[in-house]
Amino acid sequence: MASDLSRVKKELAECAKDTKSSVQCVPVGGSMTHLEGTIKGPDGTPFAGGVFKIDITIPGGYPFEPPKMKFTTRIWHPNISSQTGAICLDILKDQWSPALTIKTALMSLQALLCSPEPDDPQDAEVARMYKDTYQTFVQTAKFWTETYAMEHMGGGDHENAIARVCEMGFAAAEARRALEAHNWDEVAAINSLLSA
Amino acid sequence: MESSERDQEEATSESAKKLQEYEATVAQQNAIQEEIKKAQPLVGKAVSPSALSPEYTDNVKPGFLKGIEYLSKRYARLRPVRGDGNCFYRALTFALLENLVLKLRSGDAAAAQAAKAEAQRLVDKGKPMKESCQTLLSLGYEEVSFDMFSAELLEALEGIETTTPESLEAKFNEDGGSGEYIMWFCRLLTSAFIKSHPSRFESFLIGDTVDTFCAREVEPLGVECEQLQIIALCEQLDIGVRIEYLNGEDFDASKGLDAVPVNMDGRQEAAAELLFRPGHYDILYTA
Repeated sequence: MASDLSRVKKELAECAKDTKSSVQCVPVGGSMTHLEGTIKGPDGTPFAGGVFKIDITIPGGYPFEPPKMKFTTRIWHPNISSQTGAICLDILKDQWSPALTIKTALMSLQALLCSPEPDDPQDAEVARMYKDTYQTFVQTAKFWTETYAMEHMGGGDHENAIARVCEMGFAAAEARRALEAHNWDEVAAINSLLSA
Repeated sequence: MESSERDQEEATSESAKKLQEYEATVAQQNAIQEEIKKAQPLVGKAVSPSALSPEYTDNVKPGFLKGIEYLSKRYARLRPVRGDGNCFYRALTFALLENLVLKLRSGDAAAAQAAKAEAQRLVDKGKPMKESCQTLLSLGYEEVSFDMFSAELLEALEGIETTTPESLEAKFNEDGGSGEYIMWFCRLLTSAFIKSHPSRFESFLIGDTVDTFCAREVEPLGVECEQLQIIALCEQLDIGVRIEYLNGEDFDASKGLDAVPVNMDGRQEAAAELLFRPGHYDILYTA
């Protein structure tokens, strides 16, 4: 009965049903052990308007062991590493219980965005800023949200940029890779593709 | 600028250090858990209570050896249970099921009938299974978070007549196996009782609500239990247990240890007889 992947399947099915939820979770590739979660930045916080992606690995001992989660979208928050996305949250460590689910864990992350705990920090620099110069923290967190967690040009514009690069005779996948590598600067992306 | 860069470097190395420290702690905890796993089966073979003596020969408290002597007279056997913080829940669920199995196979028709009726009661009459699951749903637990656990207990109870003591032992000795599912479900049943009787418990929970208490002190694996959890689980299952307390205090040998009854009012028989030593529970057998 080790590693209960049928439970993961059930949980994902429940998530998929609840399309209105502000947290989502989908499998990555065909495996049930690697998932991607998405949480919306809560209103009234510096994370509002952002969409944050969470990398989720289901360990062999699930649901006795907690899912491993980390932010892949960069975020400025005292309990999340601004470098690695590692999260400091009790329920993902010793306070995990099988009564919790991937969805409830994601909702707890969302709650963490609403109420940071700077006294138990994951990122000491962010925590210090939060405590010493709160306004600077809010501005920085907002800036990071706008920079990393929002699609600036709107989702469609990325697709348009890819389409324009493809017109130059490149495949969509390599066009996307180049654009991502150059922060969606079309000229730089095309130059790099041409010089490759 | 320079100083802020230095700050950032410092902060980064500080958080990296914190992460390293945390990882070291986790690694150490895992190593200890691995040691325990190797040394102690989840549910061990029954031995004479006197087998505990060597552990206490050098103990400064005289009550331990005297207590073990008393236990050896009063109880025929003791079954050690792995000391991983789940021992009470595991000892109770194993003893509860094993008692039913032993009665069913005892050759005593009345005892077998009673055991069958008790298994049936646990399945569908009153609180134990069906009502407990309803209670959990009404308390806001998601079905997906407990249905596989409740299914294991249900299956164990429904299949009690074809269970042998050996198959039960095997079931409980698989790491992450069925016995562990049953054991954890009993944690959830404990929560169910505490959360549905907040007024009874809240005055004992300093600075906690029943919800925060259960999330921290009941539901996570490996969190040891106190009297409060024991009472709650017994009442939720509507069973009684008797617990001997061997804590090293001197005692009157003519009176024996304190076999503390939990939820035994109006009951003749305990569903399980347990031995408590500081931080640990094992199973006792009179026969």
